[in-house]
Amino acid sequence: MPEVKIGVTTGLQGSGTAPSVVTRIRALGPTEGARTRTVQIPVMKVPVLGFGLGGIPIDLDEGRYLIEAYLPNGELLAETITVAPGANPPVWLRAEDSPYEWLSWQNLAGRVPKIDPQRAPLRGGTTPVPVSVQTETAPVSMLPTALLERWTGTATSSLPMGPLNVQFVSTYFDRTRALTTCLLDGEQFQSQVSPAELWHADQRYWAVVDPPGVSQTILAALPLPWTEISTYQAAPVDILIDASGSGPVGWPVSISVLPRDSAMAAAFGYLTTGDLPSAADIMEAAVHHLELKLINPLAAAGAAYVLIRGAARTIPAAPVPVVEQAPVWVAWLTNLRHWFPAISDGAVLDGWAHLNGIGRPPDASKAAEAFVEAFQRGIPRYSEGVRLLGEGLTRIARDDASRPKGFDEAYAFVRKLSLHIDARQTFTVVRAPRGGGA
Amino acid sequence: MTLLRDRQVAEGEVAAAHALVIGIGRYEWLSGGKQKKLFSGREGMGQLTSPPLSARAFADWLLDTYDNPDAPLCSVDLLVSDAKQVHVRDGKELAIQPATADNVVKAIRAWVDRATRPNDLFFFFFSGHGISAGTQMTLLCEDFGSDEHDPLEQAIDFTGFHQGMDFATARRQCYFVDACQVATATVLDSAGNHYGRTGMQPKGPHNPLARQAPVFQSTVAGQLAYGRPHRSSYFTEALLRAFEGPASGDDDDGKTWWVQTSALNRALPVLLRRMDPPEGLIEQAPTTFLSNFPLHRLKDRPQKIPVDVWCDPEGMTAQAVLSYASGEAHGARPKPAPTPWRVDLVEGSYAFEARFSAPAATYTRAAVEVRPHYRPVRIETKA
Repeated sequence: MPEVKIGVTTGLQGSGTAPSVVTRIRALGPTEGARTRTVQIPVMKVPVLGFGLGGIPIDLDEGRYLIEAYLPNGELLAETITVAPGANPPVWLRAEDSPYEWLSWQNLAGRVPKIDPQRAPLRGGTTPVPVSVQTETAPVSMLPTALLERWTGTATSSLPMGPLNVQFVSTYFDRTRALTTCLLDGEQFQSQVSPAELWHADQRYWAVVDPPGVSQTILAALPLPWTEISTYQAAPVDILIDASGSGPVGWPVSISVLPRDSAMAAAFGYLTTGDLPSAADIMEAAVHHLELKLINPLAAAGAAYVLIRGAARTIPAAPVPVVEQAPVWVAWLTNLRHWFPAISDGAVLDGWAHLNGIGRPPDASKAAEAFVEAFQRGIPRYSEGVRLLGEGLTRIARDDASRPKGFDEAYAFVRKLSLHIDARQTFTVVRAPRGGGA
Repeated sequence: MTLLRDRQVAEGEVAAAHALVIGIGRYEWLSGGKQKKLFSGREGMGQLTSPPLSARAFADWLLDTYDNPDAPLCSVDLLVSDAKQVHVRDGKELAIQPATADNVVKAIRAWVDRATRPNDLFFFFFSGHGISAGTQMTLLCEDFGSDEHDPLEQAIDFTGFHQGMDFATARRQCYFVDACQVATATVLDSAGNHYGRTGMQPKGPHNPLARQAPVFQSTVAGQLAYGRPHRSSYFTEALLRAFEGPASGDDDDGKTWWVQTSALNRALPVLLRRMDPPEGLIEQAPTTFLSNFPLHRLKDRPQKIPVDVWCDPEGMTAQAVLSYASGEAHGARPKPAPTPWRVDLVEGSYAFEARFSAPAATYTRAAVEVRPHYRPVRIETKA
């Protein structure tokens, strides 16, 4: 069978990691096989001859095909090709370059606002918005308490956070778009007191921004440490601070956090536009990497959120009982909860599986226990964790028999938290009136 | 409740589609309303003219064009709040019930009860004011603000409603929320745990039947919806255009074109960008809970597929006369311009051409397959 090598290219900063994008190959003429195939093509910086002589090899029958690559940011790349017997030239689909190379990952993930400065004058300043990296300095339950006090106007103390004086790997600022990016090494950081200190898996890190002229503090959960799931190397984590005023009312700046990970960056990008089926395609292909949860439990939790929502994305000939959809990743949910207590998302996911009978009989009492445990372990790192926790607690709230001790406290906090996050972001970004601390 | 269609499932039909369509322009207790004492927390919210037109346009599309043999249309319930309170069908004026909170909640429950089998399909369409914060979205009914002490009693907690709908019989549900979200979340923030009426109470017990229930939204929280005075909204216009073809696919048999939810998610942002709103580019809110299923069968090949044509290098576009041809169909840009040529085409195979006068040269891109949801066409003009 003839073979065609297909590649996608764009100016992407760094050369070690190639995020994959969902690509469909459609037969245009009569065909005996399936009319369309979905494959994943890595995005490369330039056409690389040494990489399989250009792109990913795909076996195709002779004939005409339409190749469509759907980028996470919504861009469509398309080529019509004719496959002949024998050797065929490689096909390169060229994506639009990012305005700057340092914005390239966030641009691919659809996080760079589409701004026409001539028609929508910017409200951003002329200097970068200062950002600091901080860690929780008190038991995890203290941050929810302090946030709740701020939202209800009863704050008497500062947020229980301490700065780390982290020196970023790089910082860039685009005055036209009022965008700032800061890059963190996923394994370690440098500070004024330490030349190289490791990020610790049992600590919780936040990017903290106090936008000038606004009495709000914005905190963005940082997924650190982060190990790239296919290479097992530390991956940089990209923080984009958007002060262009293009976000929702009440959000003077938007903070988008993105690990430069081959699978997760694209999956998180697809979620930016709500393309859950494509995110699930990417995640399913990466399941064998993610099974190594000890290497990157945060990535495993992120993947589980995609897969748990994506479980019903195909058209069932008849409705399928959820309990019968128990693929391999279902076992992760309990393991994440018990092995990684610092990541409250594990308890959220396990509770959700209990509530909805995913891979086990449904049990609202066990779900409620898991949700309360999640609350006691701190704010979920993922926005989807906040969403599921809120929905789960709401569903159980009227069921007195299922509510364990601590339920009311958890419910009251999560209902408020649900109002104060930036739901467009993958990682939890929360705002609070500015107080004396953080 | 105002049923524009109400029929039983016929013999041989395997399922039914039921629609609830709501458009609210008249808000008596918001700015410009007729009440003497307006709601103190109205912030920038006032009267709207687009939502009633949007709701009527969507209802008419369902009645006149919607085609799905797997879920034929059995009911359409339309609630509208505006000065007219009528809907014209076949030259006749039908009185329409206003979208007060009581009426909306009653309509939701009646709509839910109309479904009798899991394969049934629900359409929910809302256009009017909304308040959004974080993961919470609340839709405001006509009488919002009438109770200064408990304003959210005249609102729908859409987030809770969507959760509660997991216990409806129909397992395929499609939601369109075209809400003008200009207000901050102050009302929600001061409301304790009550963010409006749900119509369907979220429940703890598990529903073992999987549900597909995507929510398509017009704007991100806090931004102006695509509302236009005395015309249906940008979002509704884009939606109805998407149903003409850009949101379709023929993956099943290569012959029959179906509008699918996943394709709709891809088509809407492209179509909205081409609306060119004078306010500038406005981000569409991400679709939530997206899963793929067919909504509507096209009678013909997909129409009005957006195509952008430009030259590579891009600077050459300004000097090029761009044109296309497909069989007997052909067209040309009236005069050169520096921006990509936006043209809407019927599905098919096309040749595109860039012609230059000084020095004279013609470059062609042949056999380009124009298919949904969008086609970018770059004509290489390098020697």
